[in-house]
Amino acid sequence: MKTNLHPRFILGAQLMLSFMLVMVLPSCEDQIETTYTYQTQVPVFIEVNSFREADIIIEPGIPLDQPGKIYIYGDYLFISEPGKGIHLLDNTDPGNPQNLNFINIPGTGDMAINESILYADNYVDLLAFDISNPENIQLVKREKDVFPNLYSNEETGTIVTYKDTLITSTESNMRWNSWGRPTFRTDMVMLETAAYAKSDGGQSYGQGGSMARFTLLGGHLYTVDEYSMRVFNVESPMDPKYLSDIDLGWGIETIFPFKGNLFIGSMTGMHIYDASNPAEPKEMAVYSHITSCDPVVVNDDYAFVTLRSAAICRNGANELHVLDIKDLNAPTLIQSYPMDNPHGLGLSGDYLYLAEGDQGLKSFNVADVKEIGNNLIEHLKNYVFTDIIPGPKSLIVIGPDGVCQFDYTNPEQLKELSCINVAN
Amino acid sequence: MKNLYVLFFIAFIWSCPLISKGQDLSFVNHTEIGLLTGTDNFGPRTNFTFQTFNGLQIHRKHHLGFVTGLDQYGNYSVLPLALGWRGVLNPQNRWQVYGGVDLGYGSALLEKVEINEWDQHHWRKGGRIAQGSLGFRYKTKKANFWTVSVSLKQQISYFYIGNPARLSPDRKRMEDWSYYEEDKVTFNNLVYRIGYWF
Repeated sequence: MKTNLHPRFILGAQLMLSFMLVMVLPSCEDQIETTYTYQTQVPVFIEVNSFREADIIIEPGIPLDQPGKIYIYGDYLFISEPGKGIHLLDNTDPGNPQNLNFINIPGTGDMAINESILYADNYVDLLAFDISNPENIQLVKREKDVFPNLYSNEETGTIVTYKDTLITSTESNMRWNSWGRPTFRTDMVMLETAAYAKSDGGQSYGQGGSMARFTLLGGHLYTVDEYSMRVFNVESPMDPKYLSDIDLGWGIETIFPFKGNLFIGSMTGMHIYDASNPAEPKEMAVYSHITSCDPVVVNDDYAFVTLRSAAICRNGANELHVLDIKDLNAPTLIQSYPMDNPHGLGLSGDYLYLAEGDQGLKSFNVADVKEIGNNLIEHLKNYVFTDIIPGPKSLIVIGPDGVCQFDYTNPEQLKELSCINVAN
Repeated sequence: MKNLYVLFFIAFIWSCPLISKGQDLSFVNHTEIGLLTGTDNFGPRTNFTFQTFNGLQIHRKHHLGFVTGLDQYGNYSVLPLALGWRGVLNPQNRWQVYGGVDLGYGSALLEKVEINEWDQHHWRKGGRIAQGSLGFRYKTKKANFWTVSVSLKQQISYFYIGNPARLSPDRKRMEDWSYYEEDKVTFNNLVYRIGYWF
């Protein structure tokens, strides 16, 4: 048979046809490979003797890693590293804080300072350190077994803690909200606060944020955990004594002292306790709201409560509530204002500073509590903040990326003085 | 990844006719539209594709250049950035057989991070692209060409779902997420295209 096609063309056509067959025959099916990674907390069992016998080591200053809470005392700034210890910084010049020491306290969560004595938890124990000379910090007291809820077996002295662990799997039953997936609860660790304690009862207290879970009032140290408040007598600062345990329900988050009263923020509302007898605080009122996360700050007439809708906070609202507390037995809601992602807050005179999470920092004039929504003064967006202390020299703000200080001598215009960033 | 971008940039500059001074090398553009066909979890799929090859004729039968365009898989857009080769078997004929190979990266540049009301983050990342093509081109009177081609195209993409464990989580740091799901999706396509070559 004769053809006028070029032989190379025929060869090409044949090649192409065979190539097409090779391509078409195996069906073109998409492949999906899925990996599921989640953070969970693996239980770690520790014998109490192992950490009681180990020395608490004071190390030279180390960079911040996962800052938890802030506390100021005199010219010193304390930044906790939950589970690891406490950084001590010289904040004489807020524009240039100096990292002095790191107090290595495994299993620590919170702190408070009274008369140069630093209180911090060490798993089930409460420790007291003499910090009058920051160059030479001394452990002066270990009050044992005061946080017994960590015990898995009190008789054998075994406590259980949970270690954050990343687990990666390609098993499809590890998909989020599949049955059989281990639960995680790392968000709990993020609960923090903002408040400030004025010196009272003749003792000089430091000042914690609104998300503090340790607080001092009337010669007593109050600590709150998930379900209860514990009371310690610290009238002799070097020798804290455990007194009692008060059941508070569930989801307790923050504690804020003001004029002889304790304001306790929980996931369901705000509890007010009369601490005029500091050893035996009495419940005066509970203001209940929808389930949400909420630190509290107060002044003479009003309480400011933030509600946040993080998943762990059971999806409430993102709001600032202003309550009338002139009658402490009957707090009433005056007004609520929508917010972005409110965390801790701080009050200084007529100005309210609000940490808006990844939305930065907002300042409001709250002289007229019915018009706060229209009195936004500044909104600094390029920060991630969770808690605030309006300190004597600077406004100190903390977030997962580090600690920043602002000059707020002109409350209408914040000026950044310094930022200490985390190491990574 | 960075090297790949540098390579693309060099290829792009090199293939730009105004910059390359080699007078023997003539500029070539080959623009095609077509259909990506394949099978996903839900059955057969057909998606739109557009691609344009810009390059230089370095030999009577060979062309090298830079390939870009758009692949639209449902609501997911991929911007291909690839180096390409085109070879013509019989340039002396009116009907010619040609082949091509493209290698590069499919970028999810056009995709945005979505955060739902439960604060769950969804985002996408591109990946490797490899394509082999065979086709015919038909010479017009102006010595330009109409083309039809069939290709096998593999395109990798990564889809992510994350539940943040902290504020402003870093999408590259797994510790910042309480839950982090990565779907590596390999799109295997049989592609039919028509195009114009000058």
